[in-house]
Amino acid sequence: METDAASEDKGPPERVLEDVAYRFCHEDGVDATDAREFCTLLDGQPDDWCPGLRASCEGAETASEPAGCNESSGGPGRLFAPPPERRNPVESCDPDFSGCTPPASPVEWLQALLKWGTAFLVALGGVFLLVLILRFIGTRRGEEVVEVARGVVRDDAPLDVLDEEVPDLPGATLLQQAQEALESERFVEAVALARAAALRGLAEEGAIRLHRARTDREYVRQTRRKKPDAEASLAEVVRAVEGQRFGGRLIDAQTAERVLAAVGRLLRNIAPFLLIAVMLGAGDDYRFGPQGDSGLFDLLVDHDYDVTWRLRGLDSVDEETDVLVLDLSGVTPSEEDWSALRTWVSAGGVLVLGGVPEAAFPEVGVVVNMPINGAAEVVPGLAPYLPTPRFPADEEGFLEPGGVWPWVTVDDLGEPRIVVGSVFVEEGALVVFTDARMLWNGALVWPNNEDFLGDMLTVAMSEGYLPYREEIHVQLATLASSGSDSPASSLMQANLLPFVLQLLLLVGVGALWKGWPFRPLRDPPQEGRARYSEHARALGSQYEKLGATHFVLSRAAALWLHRRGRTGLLVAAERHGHTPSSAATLVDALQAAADSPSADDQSDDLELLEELCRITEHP
Amino acid sequence: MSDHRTPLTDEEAAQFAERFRAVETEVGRVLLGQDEVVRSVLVGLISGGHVLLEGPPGIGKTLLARTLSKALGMEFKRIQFTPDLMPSDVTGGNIFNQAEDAFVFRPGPVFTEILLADEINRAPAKTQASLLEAMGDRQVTVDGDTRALPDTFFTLATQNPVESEGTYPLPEAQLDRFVMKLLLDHPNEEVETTLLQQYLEGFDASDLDAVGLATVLDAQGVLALRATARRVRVDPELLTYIARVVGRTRHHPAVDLGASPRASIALLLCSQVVAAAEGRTYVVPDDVKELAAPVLRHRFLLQPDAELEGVSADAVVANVLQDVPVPGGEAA
Repeated sequence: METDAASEDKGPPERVLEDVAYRFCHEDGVDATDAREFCTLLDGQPDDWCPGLRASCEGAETASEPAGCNESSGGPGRLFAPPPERRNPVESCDPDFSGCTPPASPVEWLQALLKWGTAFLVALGGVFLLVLILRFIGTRRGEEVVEVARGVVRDDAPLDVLDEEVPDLPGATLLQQAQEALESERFVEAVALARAAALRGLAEEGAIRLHRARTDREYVRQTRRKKPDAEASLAEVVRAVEGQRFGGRLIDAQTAERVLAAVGRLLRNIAPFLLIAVMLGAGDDYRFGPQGDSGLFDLLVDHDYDVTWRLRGLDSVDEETDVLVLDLSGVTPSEEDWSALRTWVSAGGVLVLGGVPEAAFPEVGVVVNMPINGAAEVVPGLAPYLPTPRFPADEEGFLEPGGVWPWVTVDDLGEPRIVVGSVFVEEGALVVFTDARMLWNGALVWPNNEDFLGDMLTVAMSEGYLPYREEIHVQLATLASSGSDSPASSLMQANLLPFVLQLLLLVGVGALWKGWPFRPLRDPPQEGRARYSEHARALGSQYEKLGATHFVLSRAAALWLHRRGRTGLLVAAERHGHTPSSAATLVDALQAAADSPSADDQSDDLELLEELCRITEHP
Repeated sequence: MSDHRTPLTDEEAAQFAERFRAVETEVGRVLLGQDEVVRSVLVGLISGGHVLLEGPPGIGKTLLARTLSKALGMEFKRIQFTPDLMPSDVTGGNIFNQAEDAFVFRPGPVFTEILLADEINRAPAKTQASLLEAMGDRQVTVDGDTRALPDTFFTLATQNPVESEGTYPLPEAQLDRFVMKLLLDHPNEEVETTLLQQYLEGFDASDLDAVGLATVLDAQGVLALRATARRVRVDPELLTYIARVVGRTRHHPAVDLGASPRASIALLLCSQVVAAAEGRTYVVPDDVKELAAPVLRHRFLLQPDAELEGVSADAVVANVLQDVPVPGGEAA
């Protein structure tokens, strides 16, 4: 079949990578670095196949030229490109849109309308939310004392006010500047920059939160809690800075060098964490990137396998799973996992491995890590049924001939090297790909690889290379299915983050609009209520001693008018025996008292207060 | 003795820290689980101020005063404040001596070095006020005669948390004379178990000699430490920081009457002591922040609205500290 499909009329997607989700294949410049190892797989294929990867490989700027409508509909920046099967081969180019004119189909017009409509609604929602927040802030200002009082009670005031004195540059950059200052014998500046580098580095890692009202020693204490191994280095820096700053001590070259060395240690210490953070941040695309593994999933689904991601650990594989695909480049099983896998394979499971598990399955034999050059070849027993795959560039590593049945070999200077093979382990079997990249999306650029991977299980089972199964339940244990370190990264892996954020936003707006409480309203604990009651009584008695009866009445009346409103108090008064007119008189008096907290004491203050207490107490 | 403008040397700071720790350790042997309180009381004493302790009965407030006086080798007296206590019961008074046919001054318990004013808020304002002059100026005036108190005069007052009956809140002028107000709470289970174990082994709180409590400092030593602490360097930026923190209490929406300049001075002096106690020759912002709550919490009046809303003085101090930028960042 080779690559004919790419130039043929588009029906339903025939190749996995035709799906525009695999942007590296369709869009120029996406994951270019990661994609390069798969560039050789484009050799000999039609020019219009995988234009994005081709452009990345060739360094061509496909974005600047409308290279034909078939390509540009999935071109750069066109995230809403229509699916391939809907492309119109005769659509015309539109210079105003740096690509092609929108398709003429009414359905696609509708799509465009929906897209812009949604964008408009989102923008409208944003403006509405902003107005709501501004109004909310305005309301808060009106009740300054009480609200500030509440704010004071909270100890969770936002701490995101950055320490404006620490330059907003990466820690490594600041350290570099500090080094330059040291070399120029500007020791004070060097130490100050080193401090900033240390703080910025720790903040980037999440060990501390910068705030202009925090002292350096508070940062040291935070570091002690969250990253104890960095505490000593930071403390050394802080001592030097404080000594210079507040102790009037001179900074000499030795001190500056010592401080810079400490910061260097500290930043080296946190560098791996930063790397992980960067990797996590880039996690959104990797499932569909050249190094991702969604392609294998989609491929097996297309070939009618029952496929699921393996989302749990590997310590117990259920018996319903017939085939488990395990990519060792993305998942690292523990010894217990290997032991459980061996038990499962021995009981009849088929384990497809990307990478070689020498210790856990000695039956596989030894892998030899040497570069091999040559074309892959399917062994004669499978050649009539499986196409010849092609490996990504720089193939190295092969299995020594032993108990392994070769499936694919690479002719290396006349010597056939096993790169794909299988071996029976009691009732089950292992299939080993020495190069795990063959299971990645990038490998599917070569059409034969797709056919090989899609058909190999059924062919091998029917030819006796693997235990036979009627229906094949496959699980994929790959990087995409591995557990996430945090809920956020989990959402990112599942591409659900935008959805969840929008949902939360919607719920937040709804809650604000309706005035829903953000948590169940509960009475404070009994002890707190008793203490408050005691406190209020003591305060009341103080006011009484001072004779400030009108002030007490005023505050109490204001409190209850705020809580129940005029109508609520009228109802409460009538429930407690007042006639409508006497209730109105009472509430009017309370309103007057509430409006005049500074007025002189009145003779009926205490009576009104008592009546207020009576009508507001629970039956 | 060095002039207070002479910068403190590292050796002197180290000696200060050593002696401070010696007292801390000695008092801590008797008073279990109250390390922070012991440290703060010592800071208050060395800074030249007086300390107000607030906490429930039976947690060792009196024992703290007695132990402190023993460890410091200073004279100790106690006044139990009651509603019928008279000012002359505190200051002393002139009594007619028939034998000499003249009025003779009989000094009250205030004439001592360490005075424990127990449950000070149980006496009426008139009696409480009798301590004002003693605490403020270390002198007592009776019938027009002014008598000096020792330079080391130190009042350790206690009060129970606000109660509805039988208490008289301390007037602001009196509160302001306490350099710190410390809040005490019941010890945790572990400390209480150790305490019980000590009693089982024969510890008697009334017989500190039997515990083998050593006198590690004397009154002159305390004065020397006080003079040393005054020489701790305070950067001008920190003076501004202290002024800003205290000043912010005067403009806080939940505060009716903010802290006085006396609070700023107290914060400064205590910061110097804390710095020296850590063997430093200079104050850092952390010292000020650490002391802000005990030094300020009793020095401002909350607005009635805020008080009814349950706002505490400590929350206001925390809020203020969060608002005021610390100096030192701009070096970067």
